[in-house]
Amino acid sequence: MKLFSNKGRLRLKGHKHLTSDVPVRELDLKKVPFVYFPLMANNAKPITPLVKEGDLVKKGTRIALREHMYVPVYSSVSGKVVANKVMFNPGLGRPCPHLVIENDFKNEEEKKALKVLKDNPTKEEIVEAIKEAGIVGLGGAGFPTWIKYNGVKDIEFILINAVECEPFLTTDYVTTIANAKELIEGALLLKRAADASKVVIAIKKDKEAAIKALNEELTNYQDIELRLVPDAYPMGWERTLVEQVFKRTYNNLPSECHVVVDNSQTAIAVYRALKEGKPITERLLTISGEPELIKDPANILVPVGTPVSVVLAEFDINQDKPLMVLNGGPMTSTALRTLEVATTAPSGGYTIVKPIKQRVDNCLRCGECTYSCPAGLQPVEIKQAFEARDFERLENLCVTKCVECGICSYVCPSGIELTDTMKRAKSLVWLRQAQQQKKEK
Amino acid sequence: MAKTSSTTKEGEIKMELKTGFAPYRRSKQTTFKIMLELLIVLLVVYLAAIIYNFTLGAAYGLKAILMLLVSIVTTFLCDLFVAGIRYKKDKDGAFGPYLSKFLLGNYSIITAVILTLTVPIGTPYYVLIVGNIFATLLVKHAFGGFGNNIVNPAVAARIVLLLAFGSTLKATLGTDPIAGGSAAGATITTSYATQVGAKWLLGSLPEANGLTMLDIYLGRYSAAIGETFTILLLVAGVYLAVRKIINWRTPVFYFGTIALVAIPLALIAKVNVGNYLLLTFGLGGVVFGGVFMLTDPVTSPTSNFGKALIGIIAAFLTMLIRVAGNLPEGVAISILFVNFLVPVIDKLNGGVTNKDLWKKYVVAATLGLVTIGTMSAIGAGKMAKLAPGEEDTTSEEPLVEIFASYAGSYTSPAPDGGEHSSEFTTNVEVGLDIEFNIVKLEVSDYASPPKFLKDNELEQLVSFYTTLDVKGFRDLPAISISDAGASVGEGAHLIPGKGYSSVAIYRAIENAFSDINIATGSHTSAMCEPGEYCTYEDETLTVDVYTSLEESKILTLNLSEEGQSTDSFKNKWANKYPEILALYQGLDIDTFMGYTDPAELYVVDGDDLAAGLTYTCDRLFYAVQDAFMH
Repeated sequence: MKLFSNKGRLRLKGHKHLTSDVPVRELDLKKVPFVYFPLMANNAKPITPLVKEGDLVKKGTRIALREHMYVPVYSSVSGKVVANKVMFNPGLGRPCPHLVIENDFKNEEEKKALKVLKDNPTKEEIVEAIKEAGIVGLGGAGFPTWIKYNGVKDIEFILINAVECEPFLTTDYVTTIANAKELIEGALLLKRAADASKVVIAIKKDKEAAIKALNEELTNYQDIELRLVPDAYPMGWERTLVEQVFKRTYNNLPSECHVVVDNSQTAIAVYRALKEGKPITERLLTISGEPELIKDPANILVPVGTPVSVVLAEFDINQDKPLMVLNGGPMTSTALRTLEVATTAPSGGYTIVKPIKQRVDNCLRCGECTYSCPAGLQPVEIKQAFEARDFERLENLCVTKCVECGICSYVCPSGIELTDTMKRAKSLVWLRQAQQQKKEK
Repeated sequence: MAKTSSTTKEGEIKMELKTGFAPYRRSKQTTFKIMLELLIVLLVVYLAAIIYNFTLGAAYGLKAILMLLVSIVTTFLCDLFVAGIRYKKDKDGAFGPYLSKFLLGNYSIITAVILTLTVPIGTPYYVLIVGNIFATLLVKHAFGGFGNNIVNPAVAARIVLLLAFGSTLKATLGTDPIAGGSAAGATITTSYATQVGAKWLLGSLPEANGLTMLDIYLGRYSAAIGETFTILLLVAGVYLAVRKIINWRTPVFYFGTIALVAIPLALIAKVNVGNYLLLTFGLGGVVFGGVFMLTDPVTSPTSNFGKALIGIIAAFLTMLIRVAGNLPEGVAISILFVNFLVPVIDKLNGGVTNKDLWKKYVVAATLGLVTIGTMSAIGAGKMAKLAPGEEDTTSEEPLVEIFASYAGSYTSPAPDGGEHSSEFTTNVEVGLDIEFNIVKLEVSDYASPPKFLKDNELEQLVSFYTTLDVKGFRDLPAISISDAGASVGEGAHLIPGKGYSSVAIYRAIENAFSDINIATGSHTSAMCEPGEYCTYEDETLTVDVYTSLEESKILTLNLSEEGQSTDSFKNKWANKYPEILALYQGLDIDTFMGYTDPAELYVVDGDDLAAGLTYTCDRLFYAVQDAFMH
């Protein structure tokens, strides 16, 4: 309970028990005839293919490169490159061409996909290796990891985010338990890359099995500790987590307060890439949802690039009534219009829910949205300023700080689509800022 | 929401996919549920009020129920009217679902219940209807319905009723006495507030109202229907805050600031701080306004800081109006003012809510200190204006004008060897109202040295005398000091052990009245012609005529209750009587006795002042003449 400040947190039902203890499944390769890789990034920058139609590739062959921020892409199956296909790209928000590889089901691996790092690497060598491995933030953001560490100074802590606050998803949880050692080793590599003094792994305090697994491994290491955080949403958001663990705030990047944050699966991917020479070729997805709609929710390991339709075909889903398939958890995802979309490395999972019915009342100015916003924004005021197209007020209200966590729409008793309004307001402000910059040139 | 089906190559999946806006989970709390819970709490408060009103009489209880129904029906019809006007077939679809959505989404019933709770039981139905129409049509729907009104509809309507129909907002039905109110027709809140010279500063209950502090908090008195049962209102407030129907910051800062202002005021006025605090919250609409009206979310700022600010500002205004202003009640007006400030507060509260918190604390603290400081200064100023030296010897402040003043004195003889070694003179000044009731008694120089009659004993005497009229004084058994130096006689006007002073005061008043002569007369008149069907009974009017012996003129009249008028003419007579009485006052007795017909007195410049009330006026004329004929 805060007097004038924002509470910025919400208690949500996690539904994690649906998939947390269920054995992990593995998608039979035979069921994946094609894999698809988008040729346009989420920020609309192009990804250039390095192979052409007819080329033969193996699992681990570099097939494309995004020049902006240098992100190489690797094939997840062995087979032949066939013609590009235009498919809907949910991260981008519109269709774009995809590179298509036809699976030959032989599962041949590239022998030397990545160079294994020798012992005692320098921090520049680590950063270079991460860069060449094409590792991106696997918590969902997909931000190129090497950039966070490139030339960074004065870092005290590496914060490993094993919180996974999005309801239904348990992919981080399950991989943490299964790969605790790799997580820690990867985290230590990151620590070296940033010249940090300590590593902190943050995890929710009710994740007993994961805490146990980590603690067992941590006895062998120094300078690395476990920190338990409360079960609240959005505890996994970078800003909230840094404030919770270190009591520090920052304006744009956590490096301002001497912290670098990375997801737990990213740390594991770093270890695998640098110490085992394996790029990211598979992804553990949580396929879950409301019990009446999906009878056998579970985590499933799939090759990157598998279409969602192939993944969902593995599950017993009640298709009698209309439903929603969300690419991610219920709070920050979008509902897919088609199942012909490709899974990517940062995909967390897919959730099946009933369509939501809204009753929209007038805003009663209760202030619940303002009180709950983790970024400290005032959605009600932003909505009014947006409807009035008052740009100065929108900028004054710092609308660009919104991360679309969804809490404002969640708490609104009148059912107003505040998150959507925030998205539109942000677009408007960015557009206006871009126009003004153009004018000044 | 788009709809697509999707199949895989083998045709295993055939889903009907729907889309929508993120997030795909929503809280279970809805505006409808919030308003419903608020309505239930309001109805519980109203139920308590209905039960209390039934204890006053069946008519009261029924009126309470009917007032609520009238309000609800009026707002419902207003909603219907606006729904009809706004309906556009192509935009809104079928009328039925549109209408139910409109009615259920505007929550006008809440306004109806709150407005009814803020008016007293004696409010006429037409006034209530006007108030509800104003609130619903003008304040709410003219601005766009629920969520768009700038000011609280119930508050605005209540103020309009106060300004336009103030005199009809009585706390009783008909001419019944007000429960807990004073005889002159004021509720306890009004009488508390209008104590001469020190509104809301002197913190003690007027004893004549006969209420204890517990009575105040349990609502055993009449004022507005819903604002009396303070304890229930506080419980309701706590419940609503815990259930998050209202935001706790507004009422807490409102009540807190009022308390922080009340404490220095009580200290300045040298009254019991605890008592004063209890009275500040117990009387008037502070608790009701703070719990139900100030907390209306539509007319509050959206940020928590803003919600706290309006509590502080409203508290400042409430106390300002109570202490420095002319109105007995400041709550509704302060809420209205604060409603106007809300857009400014929202506008100034830009940026993010979790930065620069120190600024917010500073602003809130500064506002609070300014409030407390200003109110303390105003209170000190008011106290200084109170005429000094009169507190000990004045009687209860009269709520009616003093019509005539008489001065008298008495010199007590000095007995030999008694406690009083020298004679002393007592002076009194007696204030009489228009019917020659004693309403004021000032006693000075009553004993030397003053230790003989204590202050509270003098107060006791004064209180006793002010319950009498001149005739009642004359009827008192005489008291005096015997030759042995002891007091003789008995009665409430003789304080045991304080014979000299008691007798001195008694004789002084007697001396003051020495010029007054009382003659009593009566007259019975037949209301109907013999043989005529009549629903009236023959009435006898008795009148005490006060005359001045020296000047041989009529000073005033004091009429018996019976015979004044029939029920149907009661109001007319009450309005007319002062004019008629004025004809008698100062009238020379011989001149009057020379009249043979009432018309000689009542027709002035061709105008028959008794027109329309001839029966009563004639009866009075004959009764007064009868008084002089003995």
